[in-house]
Amino acid sequence: MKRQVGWLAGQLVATLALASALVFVVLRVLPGDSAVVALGVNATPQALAQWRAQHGTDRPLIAQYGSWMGGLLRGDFGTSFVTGRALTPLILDRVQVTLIIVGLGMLLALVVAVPLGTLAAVTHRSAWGTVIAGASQVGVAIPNFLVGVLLVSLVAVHLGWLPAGGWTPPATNPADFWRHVILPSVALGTVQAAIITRYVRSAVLEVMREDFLRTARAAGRTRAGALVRHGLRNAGVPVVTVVGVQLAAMLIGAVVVERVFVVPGLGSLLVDAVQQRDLQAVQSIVVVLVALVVVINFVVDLLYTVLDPRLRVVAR
Amino acid sequence: MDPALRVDDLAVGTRHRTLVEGVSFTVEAGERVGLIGESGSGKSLTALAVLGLLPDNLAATGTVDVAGERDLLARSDRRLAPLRGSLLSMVFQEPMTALDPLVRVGRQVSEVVTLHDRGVHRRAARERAVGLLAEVGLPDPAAAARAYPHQLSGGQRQRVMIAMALANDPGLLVADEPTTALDVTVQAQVLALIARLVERRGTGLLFITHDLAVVSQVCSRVLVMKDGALVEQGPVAQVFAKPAHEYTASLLAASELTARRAPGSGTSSGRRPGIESAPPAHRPDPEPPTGPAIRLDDVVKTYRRGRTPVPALRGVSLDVQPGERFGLVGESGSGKTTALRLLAGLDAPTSGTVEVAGVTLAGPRGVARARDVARVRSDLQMVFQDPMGSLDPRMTVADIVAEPLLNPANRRDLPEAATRAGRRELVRQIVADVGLYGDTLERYPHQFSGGQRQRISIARALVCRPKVLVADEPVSALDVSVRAQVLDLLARLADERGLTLVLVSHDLAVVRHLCDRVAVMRAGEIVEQGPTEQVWADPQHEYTRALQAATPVLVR
Repeated sequence: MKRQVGWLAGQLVATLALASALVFVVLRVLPGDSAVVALGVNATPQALAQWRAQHGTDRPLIAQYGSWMGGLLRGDFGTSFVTGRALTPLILDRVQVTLIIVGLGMLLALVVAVPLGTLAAVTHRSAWGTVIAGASQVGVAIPNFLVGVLLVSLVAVHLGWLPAGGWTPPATNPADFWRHVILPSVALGTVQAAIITRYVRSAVLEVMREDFLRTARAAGRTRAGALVRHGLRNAGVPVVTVVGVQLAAMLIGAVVVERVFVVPGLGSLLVDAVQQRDLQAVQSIVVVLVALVVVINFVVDLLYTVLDPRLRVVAR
Repeated sequence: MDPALRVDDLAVGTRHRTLVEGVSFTVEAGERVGLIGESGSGKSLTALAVLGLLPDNLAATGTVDVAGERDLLARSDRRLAPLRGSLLSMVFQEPMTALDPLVRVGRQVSEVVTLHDRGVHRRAARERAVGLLAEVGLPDPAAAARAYPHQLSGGQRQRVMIAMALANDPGLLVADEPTTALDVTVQAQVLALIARLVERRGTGLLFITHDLAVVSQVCSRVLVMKDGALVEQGPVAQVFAKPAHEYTASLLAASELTARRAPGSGTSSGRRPGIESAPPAHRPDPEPPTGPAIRLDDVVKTYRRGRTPVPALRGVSLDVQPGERFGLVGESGSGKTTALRLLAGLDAPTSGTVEVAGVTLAGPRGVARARDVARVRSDLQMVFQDPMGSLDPRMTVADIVAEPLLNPANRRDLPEAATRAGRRELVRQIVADVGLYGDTLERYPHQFSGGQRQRISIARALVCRPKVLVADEPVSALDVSVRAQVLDLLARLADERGLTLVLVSHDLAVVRHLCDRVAVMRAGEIVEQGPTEQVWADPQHEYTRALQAATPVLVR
């Protein structure tokens, strides 16, 4: 187990190193000169040169990469090309917001999807199962910004129960924070709940055919008892995979919901930075996102070995 | 005293179709009753109905009483569950999948104890589990209790299943093909274990199997099922000696594999009316003797698991002459499969020489050179064990059988196979030659029975007219009545086509039925080889003797 954790941690470091290099190179190769974007197309060559010297973009790429990496290792993302402000507090602030709505959204999705998917599997021959399967089908098809817009018009505008958008940090005013966080999380979670319900349903259906459930029943468990004791954990392995993939997708996909609810998340920050050719901000945000995705996969891999003893052999 | 089991007028079916009908029998307390029949006869459905474990789409009617508890079929799952595992219990066929892979086996056994007796302390239940694992003969039961199922062998898992089934001293044990998936020697041990434990406890046993020899060894009474109905029942000695029903007689006849007749005499016992063979499509030209068809010389094959070397073959030497029928016998882990992989060029030996039809198969890093493999492939073809899994379900029989001909290397000697029409004609001939007729060609594998599917596999293997046919356990997934037919088909084709036949099997009796010479393998070595009758009549090595002793023999 220890060796496995070490192996996974090594993978994490290697992935991050590779990803940062890749992001750096790709951004330099892409067209769009930061200096021109910052100073405008009419800027004089002297002004452009001065801007480049000031921001260090005239140095060799290796040197630029080196100083960026050096900063990253100290936890310093550098300063924005556009605003000239330090990126670190900004990114950390935005990451927090995104993690909160994504985390709550996924929690909500799981709370709904696991029981509903199990119910759908157990009742797959009856009307209930068909209704749940059909509803989840529809849920998968709805884009989450549409859910967001519907929620805004219904709950915020029409009923006036919750604010239509905006954000309050939890530390400033907890009650206000909760009022602002509910709708974006629900908007994100609804679609995920539909997707995960479908996976839970098929995983449980799969497990229900397993011989060991019949063994458990032959040993004296009821149908439901066998499923709870021996079925759900076995069904958990494929579901964990999907939850991991969906979490990663949600981190990036949250940008749409952030826009709808005017929530200052990481996604909105990234979109702004790309539009302004703020290379320093873009590459730092992308590396943060990559790090989050790698950490998610790392946790998923760990969960596999916790769930399934057959996977506890030393990797390779 | 109430009988362990009384079944009266049991019927099982879907809403539209009856699968089991009018089944009535009793198992007295402590009595051991065998239930035999071929696949699809309704044996397993009968057992599952008794325990209330039928699949959702099936329903049972009739009465089932177990050890004084009346009318189990009328009970809901909630009221029936407490009886399962305490009053009656079951051991299933597949030890590999019947245990929860995520739970330690000791825990799975102790759960059966605590499930029925809430008063038992967890530690007491744990100790009882270890005691049960000791009773079923697991070495170091305390360590076994801490193991996960995947860390145990098939035989060990089946012992765990038996421990679970007998944990609460049930009045009735239902065992559904409990040893079919096990090696012969392990089967003998497990059978003896079941017999001993039910005897000690006075448990009634309903033993389901397709293997009549096993029934004759374990049971005192036998029930014969066919097409969902009981056709005969009575004491084993009486039924097997003087079967009253024609079906029982045919099962008995098919179960007894005779020794191979002298080479060249052909076979006739397996031919049924209606499966008359077509005239041989071609007769290979007599070739000048060119040395052995297959030669293994001091072959060593070592696989690696991580950094640990795992020896699969430790210096195996054998020669198979052209036209010979050679048997390779051994249990799981003996190296049979590795030897086959080397012959087929799927792997290359670590050291030593593998020669097929004069071509040496070797290469760097355990992979045989593609050029050599291509040359050998047209001379050596294989038939696999599982006729269900080894045929692509989305291809028609015509396409499946024609597939080897799509490789130009395989049709070097068959110029007519270059065209679509030519291939079709070749396919039609060979399919008729293996005894399949009618609209076979345009149908899909799932529309055939196991025996017919194996005929399709044989047709596929022979369509490019190989010199050597390697059959890997070709009949172990088949019913006994079909087994003899497929073996005789192989024998006839080998004779007609002058084939060299290599038959790999765990079953000494099957090899004896078909082969001139046999090699017995254990743990990567050949412990004995020689003419089949000699090895059978006078085995020199103790392992051969053990294997022979463990092979169930039909006592009549």
